[in-house]
Amino acid sequence: MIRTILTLPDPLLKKVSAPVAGITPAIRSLAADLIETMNRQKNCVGIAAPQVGELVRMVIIDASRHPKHYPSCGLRVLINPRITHFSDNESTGREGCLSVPDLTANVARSTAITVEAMTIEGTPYIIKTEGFEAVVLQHEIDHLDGLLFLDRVTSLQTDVFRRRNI
Amino acid sequence: MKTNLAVSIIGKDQTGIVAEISKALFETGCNIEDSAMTLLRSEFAMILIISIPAAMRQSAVIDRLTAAAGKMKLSCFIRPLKNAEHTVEKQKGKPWVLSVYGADKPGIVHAVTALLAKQNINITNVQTKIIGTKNKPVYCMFLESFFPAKLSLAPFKSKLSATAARLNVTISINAADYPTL
Repeated sequence: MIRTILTLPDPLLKKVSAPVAGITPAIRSLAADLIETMNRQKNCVGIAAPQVGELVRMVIIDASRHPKHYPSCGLRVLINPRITHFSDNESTGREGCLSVPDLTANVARSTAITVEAMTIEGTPYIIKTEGFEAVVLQHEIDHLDGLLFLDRVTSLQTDVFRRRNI
Repeated sequence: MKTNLAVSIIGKDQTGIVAEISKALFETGCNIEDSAMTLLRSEFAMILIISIPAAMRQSAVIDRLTAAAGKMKLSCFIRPLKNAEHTVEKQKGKPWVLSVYGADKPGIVHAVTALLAKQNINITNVQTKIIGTKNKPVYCMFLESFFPAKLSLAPFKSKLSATAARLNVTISINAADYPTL
């Protein structure tokens, strides 16, 4: 089922989500809904459960949906994801978010990360990734702690043109 | 000797503002040293730092600029700068970016910037945007600012949190990053 995406100033977007206690039918159905909701959005490469109002630690990523074909591991469901390693190297890129329509901003993120999570079957696994997919994961996992890209803006300098409604 | 002017011009947007103003400057031999220009809703605004060649009288440039602005019904403010004044002044302290966002209401800008001013934090760039819907507008403000070297971060952060809670907005701070691309 396609879910409604919450947008600012919905207070649920600022809440810390609870860990998934077990893989129940409700959790499987939420994962399916998130995938369907993500796929409905053009060029959307990730979604987190709190964005549809479910305060549980689940994110979906699919960096392969980006038209630039960055290297990626494709569609993944991450239950209780935890970033266990951040590279010291950071790079700044432009981010947007379904929950913050109309705005993009420059955000600094680690260029490479290691994430521990569970699959939708409850099997632990590890993703080591870098580049665009690492940014996507950091952005989505931030949602589980009530953080938006707006909370991580690091530069106003490269904002060459303000987005205008035309 | 060259002299410099700070010029700010604002008025109802129309085609040809930049062309008209820069024509007045070019024809009096002036150079635009630095500028910021933007359209805010219906108002177009320009801030310029211009240098006047030694052979040109300052009053002649001011007259030409005022006439050009007047022709397009623009407000024009001109301030002569002391010699050293127009050079780029290096900011003291460390650059940070503050993000402030939440349900729009009067008083957000004042409450946040009064707190910064009290801590001697200098604001160097501000971008604001209203997002959300007509019924539920969200005010977003991003401030680039320089924190004095001796500012202790932890007590300042708790002051920011208290202000954020009082206004029911989110305030985040990040060390500024100047990407080299």
